[in-house]
Amino acid sequence: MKQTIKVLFAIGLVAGVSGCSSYQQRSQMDAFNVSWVQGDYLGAVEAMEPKPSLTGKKKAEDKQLLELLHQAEAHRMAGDHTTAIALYDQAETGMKLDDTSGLATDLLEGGMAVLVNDAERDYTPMLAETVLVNTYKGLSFLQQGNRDLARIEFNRADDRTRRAVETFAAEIATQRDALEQEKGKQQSQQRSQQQSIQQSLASDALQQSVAAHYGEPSQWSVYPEFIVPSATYLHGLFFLASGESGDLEKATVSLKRVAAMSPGNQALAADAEMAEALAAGRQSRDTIDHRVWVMYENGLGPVAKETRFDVPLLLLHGNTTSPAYTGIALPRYADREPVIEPLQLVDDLGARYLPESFSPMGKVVRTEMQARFPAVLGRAVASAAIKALMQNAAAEELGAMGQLGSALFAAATTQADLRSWQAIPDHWEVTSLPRPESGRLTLEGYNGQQGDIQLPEWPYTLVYIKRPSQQGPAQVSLIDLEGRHGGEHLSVFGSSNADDLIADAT
Amino acid sequence: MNKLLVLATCLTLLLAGCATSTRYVDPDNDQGAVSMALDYRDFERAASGSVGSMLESGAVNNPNGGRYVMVVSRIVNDTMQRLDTDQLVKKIRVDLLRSGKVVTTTAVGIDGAEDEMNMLARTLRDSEEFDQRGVQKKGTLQAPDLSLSGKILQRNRKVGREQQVEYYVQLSLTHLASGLALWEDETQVIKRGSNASVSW
Repeated sequence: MKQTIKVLFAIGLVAGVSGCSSYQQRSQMDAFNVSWVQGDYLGAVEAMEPKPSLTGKKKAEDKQLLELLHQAEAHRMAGDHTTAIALYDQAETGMKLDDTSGLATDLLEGGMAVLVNDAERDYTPMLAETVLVNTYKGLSFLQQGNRDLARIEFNRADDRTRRAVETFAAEIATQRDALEQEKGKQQSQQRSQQQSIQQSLASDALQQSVAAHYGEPSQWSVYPEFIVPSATYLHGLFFLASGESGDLEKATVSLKRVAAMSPGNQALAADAEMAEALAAGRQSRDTIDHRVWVMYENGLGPVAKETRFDVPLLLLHGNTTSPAYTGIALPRYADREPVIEPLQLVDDLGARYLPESFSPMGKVVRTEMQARFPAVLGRAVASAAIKALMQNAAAEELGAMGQLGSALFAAATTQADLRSWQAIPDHWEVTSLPRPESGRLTLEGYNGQQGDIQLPEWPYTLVYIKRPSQQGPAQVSLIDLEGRHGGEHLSVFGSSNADDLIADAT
Repeated sequence: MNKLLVLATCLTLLLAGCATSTRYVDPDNDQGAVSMALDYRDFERAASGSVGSMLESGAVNNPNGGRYVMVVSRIVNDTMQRLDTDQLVKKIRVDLLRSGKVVTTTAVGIDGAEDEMNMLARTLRDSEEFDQRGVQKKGTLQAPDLSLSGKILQRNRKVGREQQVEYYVQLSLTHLASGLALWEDETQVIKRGSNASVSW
C-alpha cells in the first residue's frame, strides 16, 4: 500500500509540475502579447522577466532563451539598442549552449520529453528565429552607426541560413534512413518498447488519423528551400550599400535569391537587377541618385496552437501486438493578424508608393515545421506509447488505483510545446524610391493617420518600420545603410482602445 | 557518521583537485586546444607571414634611401567574429619597424589621427604657459608614402560531418604617390572541427 501511495505521489508530482510550468509559460506569453500589441514595450520586457532557478540563482542563457529573445526585441522596439544588442548576445550564447550540450543533457531532455512532453525541454529556437536574431542585431548596430559590427551580424545571419539549408537536407536524409532501418527491424521481429513506437509510427492507421485531424504537412505551401526572405534581403541591401570591394557579389546573390522566392514583387526584382548591374560594371554607383528603401514589418507572427486527438497505437504485450487508442497533442501554427490598412508613402511631389508584401512568416515557419514534423510526431507518439505501456503495467502491478493514477498522469502531461518567439511579424513589405528633394516623406496609415519623416541626407537610407498591431504605434527607424551615421528612432500612429488591443493579442 | 564525514572530505578534495588551475602559456609553443575562431596564434602567423613576404618582395626598400612612412588604412573585418583588427596590424607594424625599413605615422588615419596628441600638441603654439622652443613648429608632420589596407574574410562549409572554417587575411600595400599596389599577400587559416554549432 505504501508503495502504491509513493508511486501515485510521484506521478501526481510530475503531472503537477508539468501542468504548472505549461500554465506559467502560457500566461507569461499572454501578458507579453497584451503589452506588445499596445506598444507598451517596457511592459513587454517586464512580462518576460526570467524566473530565477530553484536555487535562486540566475539561470544559464540556454534556460532563459525564450525570455531573452522577447526582451531583446522589446528593447529594440523601445529604441534602446544597446540593451537589445546585449540581450541578443546573451541569446546567442544560449543558442550555442543548446547546440553544444553534452550527450547526457540531450538524453535527459529527450527522456523528459517522451515521459512528460516537449515543453519540458529547454527552448530550442526555430532556425528562422536564429537567423532573425542576427538580422535584428545587425539593424541595431546600423542604427548605432557601427557598420563594422553590423557587417559581422549580417555575415552571421547568412551563415545561419547556409547551416539551415544543410540541416534540412540532413533531416530529410535521416528520416529516409530511419524508415529503411525500420523495415529491417520489423523483419527481424525484435520485441521492445522501441518497436511499439516504430510500428505505430509506420502504421497506415496512425498516418491516416494524423492526416484527418492535423492535415498533411506535405500539402502545406512552403518555400522550395529554407530561407527567411526578409533576412536575406537585408543582407543583400547592406552589402549593396557598403561599397567595399567584393560586397556587390554577395549583395547580388542574396537579392537575386529573394527576388526568385517572391516572383511578382517588383521592388525586389528592381533591387536584384541593380545589384547585378553594379556587380557586372554595367552601372556605376556614382550614377545612382540618393535612394530610400522602406521596409515594413507588419502585424503579429504565427503562433502554435494545440491540436489533440486520439491515434491508434500498436502495443507489444509479450508475443502479441494489441491495438490501443490514446491521445497525442501536436503544435499547429496558426497565422495571427496583420495590420490590414495599407501603409503608403507620399513624397514632397505627392507621388505615392505602396510597399509590396513578401516574406510571410507563416510560410517560413511552415517550411521549417514541414521538415521538423516527423521528429515532433515521433516524440509525441513515443510519449503516448510509453504512457500507454505504463498504464498497462500500473494496472497489472497496482490494480485500479495504479491504472487511474497513470491515466491521470497521461492526461495531465499530454501537451504540445507551444513556445515560440512571438515578437516576429506576420510578414514584411518593401518599396524603394528616390530620396525626395526636400527630404520630407509622409507615412499614411489607418484612417487617414499621418506621420511626417525628415530624411537625413544620406546616399542610402533605410526607413525600417515595425507595427505589430493597428492599435499600437508604428516604430520607425531611420538607418544609414552605409553605417556611417547613427540613426533616428521615432514612433508614429497608434490608438489606445483597450478592448481592441486584448482581442488582437489573443 | 564519521564514515560520512571522511567520504564528504575526500569528495571535496577530489573535486578541488579536478578544478582547472591557472598557468602560463608559452606563445611560441602553445599546444592548447584550438578553437574555430581566430586566436592570437593565427594573428601571429598571419602577421609574421605577411611581413616576411613584404620584406622579401622588396616593396618596402626605399630607392631614395631612408625609411618609408606608412599609414594604416582600413582593414575590413568580413568575418563572423568580433575581431580587433588592430591586434593584427600592430604585430605587422612592430615587425616592420624592427626591419628598419618602414615607420608608421599616427598622425593620420581613416577615422582620424590614431594619436590625437599630434594635433593637440600643436594647439600649444602661442601659449604663454609653454616654453615655445619645445612646441612643434608648422610643417613638421610627415605625410605617408605607403598605405596598408586589407580584409579578413571567412568562408564556412560542411566537409563530411565536420565544419571547415576558412579565413583569408588579405593585405595590400599601396604607393600613395602612384596609387599602385606595390605588394599584396593572402594568408590562409583553415580549421576543421565540430559542426554542432556555429563557428563564432
